[in-house]
Amino acid sequence: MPTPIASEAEMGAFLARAGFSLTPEQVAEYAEAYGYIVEMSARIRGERSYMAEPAHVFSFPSEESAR
Amino acid sequence: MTALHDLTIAEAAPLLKAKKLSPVELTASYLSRIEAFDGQLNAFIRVLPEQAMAAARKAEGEIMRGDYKGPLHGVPIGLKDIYNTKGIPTTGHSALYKDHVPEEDATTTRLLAEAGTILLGKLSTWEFAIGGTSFDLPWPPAKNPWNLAHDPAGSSSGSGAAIAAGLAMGSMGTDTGGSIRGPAAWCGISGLKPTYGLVSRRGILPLSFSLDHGGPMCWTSEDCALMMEVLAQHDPLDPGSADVAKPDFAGSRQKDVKGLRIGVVRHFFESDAETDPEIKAGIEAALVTFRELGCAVTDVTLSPLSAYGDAAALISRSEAFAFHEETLMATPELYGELARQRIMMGAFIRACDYVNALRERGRLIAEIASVFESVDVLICPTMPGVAPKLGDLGNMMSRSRPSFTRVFNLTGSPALSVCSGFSTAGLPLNMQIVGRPFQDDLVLRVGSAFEKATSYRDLRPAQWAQQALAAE
Repeated sequence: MPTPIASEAEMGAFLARAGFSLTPEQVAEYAEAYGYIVEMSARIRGERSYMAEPAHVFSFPSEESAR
Repeated sequence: MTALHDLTIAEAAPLLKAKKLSPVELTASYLSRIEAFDGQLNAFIRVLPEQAMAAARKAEGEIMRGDYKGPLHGVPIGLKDIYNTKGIPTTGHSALYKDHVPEEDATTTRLLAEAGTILLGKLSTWEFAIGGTSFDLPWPPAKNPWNLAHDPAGSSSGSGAAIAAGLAMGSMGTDTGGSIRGPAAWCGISGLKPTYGLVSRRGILPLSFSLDHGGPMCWTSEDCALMMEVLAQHDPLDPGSADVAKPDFAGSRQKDVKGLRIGVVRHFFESDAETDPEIKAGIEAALVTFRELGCAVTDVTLSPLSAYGDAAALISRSEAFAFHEETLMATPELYGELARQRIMMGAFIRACDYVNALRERGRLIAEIASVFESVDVLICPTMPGVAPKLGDLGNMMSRSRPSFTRVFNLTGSPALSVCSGFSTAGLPLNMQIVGRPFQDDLVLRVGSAFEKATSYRDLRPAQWAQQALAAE
């Protein structure tokens, strides 16, 4: 389980910015879960060429080369 | 004589074509089984008996006139209830869409109807294909036909349960992170997530645009190939649809697997994710079978499972929230608790993290392409364990849980789940077979060869076979 990285007050502010109004219990739950999002976001960082573009809708080189 | 509900599509098709089996009789048999058993299984949200019988009579008339359309003509199927059906509610298993009646069919719905299939009804799903096994929705969750106390997995829960219990010959599921292959694994059937772009997404309720796939679920891989022959069509109305030649599903059925090179992603299930010893034993036994069939088996190395899982989770949550944001804020009470929690997590992912996940995706697609230079298919488990008790999956609102399936949504690869045996508790074991883009035919051929070389397709869940005798 990740260390909570946002206080419940901060989480309440995040949620309000996103447009949600939740109970204190739900806010606490999201504060814990938010840690996982931050961890995942950190893990996908790393050395990457500036030419590494997003794969929005990716395409394979060609049918021929794929086979 | 084989009971009607034990026939595969491949077995029934020549009988239907030769007018030795009536689509009306076949459909009536399935409707009778649904009426008798689905109260226990909850595989169907909506059964369409009158429409199904009308379609069966139409198919019978066409076949009798000599207008045979192909192997799906007269075959009873079900659709996950996120496939649009013109004039028939398509609910997403959600109170929010309870009264949603589409004005047109999904492309896949239309293709299957044109091929002469008989639509028996709409099948249960996790809410909006994300919610999990929920008990706070307008319809109850589907159960596992091998043991009603266990979970069938999701999100295509009803699609998996219906096939395993013999309540349909084929079904359609969708797969954004494993939602075809998971239920196929835990229900002991065959389920294909096709190559991204090979099957149209038009008219299927979106979850995550760039990870969503529609595909078939059947008792055998051979039957999945028969469905793919109809489903694999370029659709100009789906921006992600690939305009490529159809894989040779028919020709592939005639070939063996001798000489194929199999790569085992052993670190996925030996070190990256805790995996049930029975699942691992099933994989090792399957590799022995493949060697006996003339395949060369070697281990291969990819990035750790978590690298794929992190990128896939960030993309999936972001895209799902983008789709649901307005309705989730306006009417949160119309969502079940699990779907609401999971979708809402997308609100906390920053744009730069989403974009970086897409950049990481590009790297991982290139990585897997390079591995496929030395092997023809990859093998690893579909799920790390057998089906747990119903509802024991718990809240997965944000964690990047180790998943053997998400990997191939991220890369767009064709990926098939097949039954690789049974646990000591009598629950299905599982194996995943993955191929190069647009080599879905090869993946299905490998799955079919395994099924024919082993006896696991001979064993149906006993409970429904016993009671079927009384029902028919």
